[in-house]
Amino acid sequence: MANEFDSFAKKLIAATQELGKSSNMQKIGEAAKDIIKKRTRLGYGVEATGEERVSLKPLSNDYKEYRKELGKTKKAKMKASQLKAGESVKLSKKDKKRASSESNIRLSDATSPTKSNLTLTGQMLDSLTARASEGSVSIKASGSRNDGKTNEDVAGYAEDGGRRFLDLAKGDLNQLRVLLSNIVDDILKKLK
Amino acid sequence: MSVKAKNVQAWVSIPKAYTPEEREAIALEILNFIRERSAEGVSIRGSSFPKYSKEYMKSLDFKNAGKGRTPNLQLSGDMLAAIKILKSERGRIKIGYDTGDSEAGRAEGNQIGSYGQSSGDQSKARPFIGISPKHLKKILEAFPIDDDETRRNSTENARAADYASTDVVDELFGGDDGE
Repeated sequence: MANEFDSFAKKLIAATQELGKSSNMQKIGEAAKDIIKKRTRLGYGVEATGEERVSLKPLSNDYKEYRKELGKTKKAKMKASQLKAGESVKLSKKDKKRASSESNIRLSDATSPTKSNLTLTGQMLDSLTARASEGSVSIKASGSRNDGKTNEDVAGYAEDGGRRFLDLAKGDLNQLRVLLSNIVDDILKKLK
Repeated sequence: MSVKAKNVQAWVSIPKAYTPEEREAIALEILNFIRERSAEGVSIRGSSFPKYSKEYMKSLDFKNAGKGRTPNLQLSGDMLAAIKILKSERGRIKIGYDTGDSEAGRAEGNQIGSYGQSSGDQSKARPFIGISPKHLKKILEAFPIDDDETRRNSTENARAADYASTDVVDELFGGDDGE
């Protein structure tokens, strides 16, 4: 019986040590980052690690209107470039005005004017990066944007404004456990 | 709408000779098999899941989840990750979801084809909780009653994978849902 326990304990220790190596930590970090990004794009945040995910706070009506206008500008600019390429499309007066707008902010295809998913241009969620070292993983937004802000600042505004998303929800943790369990399974087969 | 246990839970019969640890390991393998089979778009009966509606395929959520044409029961991925061992008794294991689990409603919707409606529709159902005798037999081949060494090795591997993954996730991210 003692031998059986020893054998199980040895496997458990070996698997845990192998998982702790930085290459595996990086895999875990990347997976966690992808899970956070997908959950947020689907419109869910999380108040604290291990809690159930919650729908992100709805957008204000004014902000929805602003996003609608951005969507129209994007369509107008697309139409204008099609027209330039010789395609037969109609541009209304309003569309012409929108098409000539110098704004470089475009509503991302990963959202809609009314969807609350921390996506306007998509830059902040796309900038999420995972950094791993032995024994730790951190996930954060990084880099600059085309509007003069930093992605870290934009993530901070979202969190401070009541749309917390950077922790891992209960479902996120379950997904990570399943993924890691498969990695450990492979490790144990190799250790055999 | 409350979730009915019979819609989200299933008993799987196995030989009575297995110990509690072996039953746990077998159950973990069954859960992995269910996740893999579902991800490939195959139901418990071995048939393909009913296709997605065109409307759903055009939705923003569908796109943001990076879904393909094959129904795989994964939008966020939470539902399949949440399926678990509910009970283990001599000769049988119960798997599925507690009726109060946050994923139970979604699981029931797929099992009976209700998807938030008050009644089910078998033509739309994507049953996934359970395993066919053929596939169970295949899993049990790794746990032979007459080969102690192989059975012990399979049991240790399955349990070590489960324990180590839980330990590491808890240590890294502080996840502890009290289960």
